[in-house]
Amino acid sequence: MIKLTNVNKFYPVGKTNFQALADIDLEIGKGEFISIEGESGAGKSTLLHVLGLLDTFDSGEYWFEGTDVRRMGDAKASALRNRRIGFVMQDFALIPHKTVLFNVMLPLLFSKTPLRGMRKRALDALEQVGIAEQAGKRVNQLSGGQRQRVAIARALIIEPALILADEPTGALDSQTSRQILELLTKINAARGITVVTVTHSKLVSDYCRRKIVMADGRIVQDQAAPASALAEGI
Amino acid sequence: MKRIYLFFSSLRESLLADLLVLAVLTVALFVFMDAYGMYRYITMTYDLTQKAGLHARAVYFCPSVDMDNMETEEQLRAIKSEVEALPGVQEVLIDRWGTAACGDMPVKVTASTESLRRMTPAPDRGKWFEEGINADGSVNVVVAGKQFNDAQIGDEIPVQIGPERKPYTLRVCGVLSIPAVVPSFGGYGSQVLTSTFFKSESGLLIGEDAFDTLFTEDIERISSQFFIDFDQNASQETIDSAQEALTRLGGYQTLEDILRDTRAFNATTFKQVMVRPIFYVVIAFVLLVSISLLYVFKRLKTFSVYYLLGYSKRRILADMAWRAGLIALVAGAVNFAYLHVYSSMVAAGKIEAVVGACYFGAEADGMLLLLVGGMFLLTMLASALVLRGKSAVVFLRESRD
Ligand SMILES: Nc1ncnc2c1ncn2[C@@H]1O[C@H](COP(=O)(O)OP(=O)(O)O)[C@@H](O)[C@H]1O
Ligand SMILES: [Mg+2]
Repeated sequence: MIKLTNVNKFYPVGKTNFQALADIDLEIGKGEFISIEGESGAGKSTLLHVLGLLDTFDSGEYWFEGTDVRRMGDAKASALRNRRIGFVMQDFALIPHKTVLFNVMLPLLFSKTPLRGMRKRALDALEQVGIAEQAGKRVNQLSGGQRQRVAIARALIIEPALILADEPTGALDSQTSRQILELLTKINAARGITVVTVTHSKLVSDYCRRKIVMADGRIVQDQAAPASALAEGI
Repeated sequence: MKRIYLFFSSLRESLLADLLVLAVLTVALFVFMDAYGMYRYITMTYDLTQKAGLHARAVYFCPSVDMDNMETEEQLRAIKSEVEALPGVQEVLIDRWGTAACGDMPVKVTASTESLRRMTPAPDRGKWFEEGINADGSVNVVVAGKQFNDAQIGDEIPVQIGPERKPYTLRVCGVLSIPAVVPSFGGYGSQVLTSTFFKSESGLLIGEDAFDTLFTEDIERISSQFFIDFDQNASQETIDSAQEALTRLGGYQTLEDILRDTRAFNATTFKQVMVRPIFYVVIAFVLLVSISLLYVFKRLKTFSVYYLLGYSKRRILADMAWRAGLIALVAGAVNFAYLHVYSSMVAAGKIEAVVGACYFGAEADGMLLLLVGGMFLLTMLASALVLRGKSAVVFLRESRD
């Protein structure tokens, strides 16, 4: 589903370049549940942004569901992201003064989906994460765990191929973290949605079948080959 | 439908700032356009005078005649003939007019010679006539001012002229709307400015041949001052001697001096009338840009969420363009209405003027368009620069930290 070959990315720092991703080779199959670990500054978020078509890279190749992403402009990449990729971020990335329902509907509002039926789909998504009764509340009236559920519902509404999570439990206590991880596991198992989550928490990586460790922009450890992960079945 | 829903849902977030920007922009543009109209009203005579195509050595001449005397008119005519006979004199521009009865209103009818016509603004509606008199005997006319503001091209105006009230029919070819500035040589002083040559009044302008048909010498009047243009090829001596003869007959000022004095006067007027409004516009520009920047920064977090969910950078910019464009459009429309609807209503006497006399020509429209467009572009540029400097992810990261 995803294939990165020899991907490099540099950030300009003053007159020199800082290499944030170095020779990344990575293959991800449909239905995998992967954690990316590593010290702060290792390049985990950068990799996630590249995977999520949020950021460009300087050399190498990236194929997403059979499409060469490198040759895509921002408009096309954005449209693809809108249809296929859901995000769950540490700070939730919700619009706090808008309602839960509006937040969940937002990706569909950006898509070609007609307005009719959107509300029902949003309520269904909220049902799946167990907070349908909060639909009318504003996001800033919710707890951290509830907000992360809203973010997951927003990812689910587009029926994505891939959910990318950047430290999804970083702002939550351990019990709430566990609930969120169980939710992600359930989504991964029940619907075959690929989940890639960046973390430095041991708790999170325990939930994942494949562990990738990064350091200085490189992948230094990749515990299960994609083929074997696929062979395990979903 | 969805776009509109999204647009209004985001408009609500910045409604107060948007309304503030709109108000500031509208008021600043209004103050500026009003001052510009006033300034143009004062200074347009300079441009009109230049359009007359008089030679550099032309003079504005004031014959010395006894103004209270019954024979003034004869004296004027005598001097005019004398001046015309002077060597080197190419043309005497004189303002000839008579009074006609139009219904029960007296109306001034002016002979518009070729040279005078060049000094007259182009009709706002219709155009100048080619022939003074048509084959059917009707007389072509350009109408000017408040009294004829509602006239339509092709209208017929019946007038009666002379003690026997001979009837004539005038056919409207063009309309000069307010301020209807027309040449009128009726003033002289220690300092003559180009505004001395013009008057803003209601009247009928007809061809010279038509005028000669309608008015006999005993009922026509001529202006008490006139322009004298010299032959371009005349030698300096010829002109010097002609000017010496003029000194015997009255006083004169050279066009060169008049234009120079007018330029100085206009410069002073500019300082008095325009500097403050320009300052307001600059303030409005600065305010507009700062509020727009503030808006972008304030919405950076929202934009980053939008981007995450697949709203492209182009669409984010397009949203901002819509917002800035809508504000510029409303502010522009209000001022356009002021320039056209309000002033034509004042001109037609339908409402009382609340500001001083203004002249808004095509250049005022151009100026307004320029300002509105400039403000729009500036806003967009400022917003785009904020977003462009960073790749989308940088603002994603920044808005989070
Ligand atoms: N826009 C940027 N400009 C320069 N350096 C950056 C930029 N963004 C990230 N970096 C650097 O790239 C490295 C990797 O960052 P990141 O991917 O956020 O690491 P992680 O998520 O693993 O903590 C860090 O050293 C960070 O300082
Ligand atoms: Mg990170």
